[in-house]
Formats: sequence, structure tokens, C-alpha cells
Amino acid sequence: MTTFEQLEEKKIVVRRWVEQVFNGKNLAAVDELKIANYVDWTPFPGQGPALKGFKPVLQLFLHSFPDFCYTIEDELAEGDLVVFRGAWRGTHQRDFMGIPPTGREVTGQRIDTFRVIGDKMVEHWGCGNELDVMQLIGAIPTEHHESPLVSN
Amino acid sequence: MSLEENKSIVRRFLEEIFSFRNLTAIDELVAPEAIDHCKQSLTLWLILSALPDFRISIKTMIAEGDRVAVISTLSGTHQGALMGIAPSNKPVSIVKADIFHVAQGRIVEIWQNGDYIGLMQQIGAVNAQRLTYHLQVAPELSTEVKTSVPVQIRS
Repeated sequence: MTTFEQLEEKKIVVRRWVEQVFNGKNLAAVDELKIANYVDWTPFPGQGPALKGFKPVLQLFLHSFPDFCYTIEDELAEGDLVVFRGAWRGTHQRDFMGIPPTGREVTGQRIDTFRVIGDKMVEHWGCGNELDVMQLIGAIPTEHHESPLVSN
Repeated sequence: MSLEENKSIVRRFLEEIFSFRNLTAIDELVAPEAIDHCKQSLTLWLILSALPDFRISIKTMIAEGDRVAVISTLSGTHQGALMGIAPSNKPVSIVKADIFHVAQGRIVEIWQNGDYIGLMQQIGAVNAQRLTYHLQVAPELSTEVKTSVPVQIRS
């Protein structure tokens, strides 16, 4: 049975990721916080395996939305699993997958689950509204409805 | 209420809706003032109507305080039009992550999410090969501007 302290320590690993990598843009911390054989069950389209495949996806988002900022809204932990619910925002200021910068501000909602062993994340299941984000900036055509991120 | 009691309420809710298609269970398990925080255009209901044989398989539940997170897989066959994509009859299976806030034995808030880009890939709406190319030439974190090739997404 994981103790309260152990659960808090696992949450701290993910909080460090948010503070140092997402918001701090410190890519050196990636290898400190995720293992090389990181397993991502919800890869972004085109994402390769392991941490090596994940890094370009991370770089893509941080590069294309240079003011990327993630806010933690809820944390749950049980056993060796940590769930973070959060929101991110950023402005599409640089090329994103061939789409020239639109200048649009996008908001993302995410629920990410990590298996944390020791002081590193080893496995990930992530769900987010990237489909709406990509529609808003024109990376995916919207045929029958508007992205809810389009303001009126 | 205990963590186990909360998990059991959420499990019953998911089973009644997704396995037994019993929508009347909502009255018993969901508070009338419950809030659905879903802000996405691709709503769960749109997806379920495109996958008439939908089913959910709960992989794990994580409970803390008055919340329960559920990681599950949503599967079905793409038999209905979905976001402009005609039925492909392909089997689809995606990860879903949902968080439920339980109070006094009922669900009072739901945050839902799913791997909807994965769903689009599986029904052939997103061409992963072109996107792989872009990830291979993904920029380092720098202020350099790189030239790009337009993405082709089959629609």
C-alpha cells in the first residue's frame, strides 16, 4: 500500500515536469524526469517510440507556441499512478507541422496519467483536445463544425 | 464515502451507460445539478452515435479524496459518419481518461477526455506519414525559422 508520503513524492515528479520543462523550457530536465524507455500509449501522430520519439513532439509544441504555459488544475495519485488534469495556453507564433503562424491563442485541456517509479515517469496515457487546437490553426480541415476554440 | 465506495459508484455508472445502455441509471447515479466540463467539439455522444457497437473496458481507476480518475479503452466499429468522414467500417479503439467528482453517493462533476486524434488516425482522417516527416525535422528550441512543407490531411 503506497503511503501518503510516497504518493506525494510521485506527484512532485510530475509537478517538476510542469515547472521545469513545460513552463521553465529546460529541456535538460527531460532525461531527469522520464526514463529512456518511456512508454507512451497515446502517441501524437507520427511520434516515434520511447523518450527519443517523444522529444520532437515536445519540442514542436514548445517551439510553435513559445509562450506555452501549463496550469495544474487537479492531481490524483494511487499506487504508482499519478493523474494530472490541467490546462495550457499558447499563441501559434511559429510553424506548426507545415502551418505558418496564425497568431491565434489556443487553450488546451488535458488529463495525463503517469506511472511513476522512483523519481521518474516510465509510462503515459494522455488525453487532450489537440484535435480542436489543430482545427483552429488549420492543420486539420473542419468540414462540419467549428472548433469551440474559435471565439465569436 | 470511502475511495472504494466512490470507485464503485463510478464503475456502476460506466457499466450502466456503456455496457447495458441503461440511461435511466443516470437519475440514480448523477446529481441533477451535475456539471459536465467537456469543452471539446468532438463530444462523446457524437462518437458513440458513429460507433453503434461501442463498448468500454475499464483499465484502471485512481481515487483520491472525492475524485475518481478512470483510464479505459473505448472500442467500436466506425459505422456512422464522424466529423465529415464517411463510415469506414474500421474497428477503432482509443484510450479515454475521465475524472469524476463524487459527493453524497452521486456524481456531481465530470471531466472527460479521449485520444481523439488517435481516433481520427484510425478512421483514416489524419495522415500520420506526413506528420512523421514534420516531427523528424522538428526544430530545436531556438529562434531559427525553418522552411516547411505543407501538410496534406486526407479528408
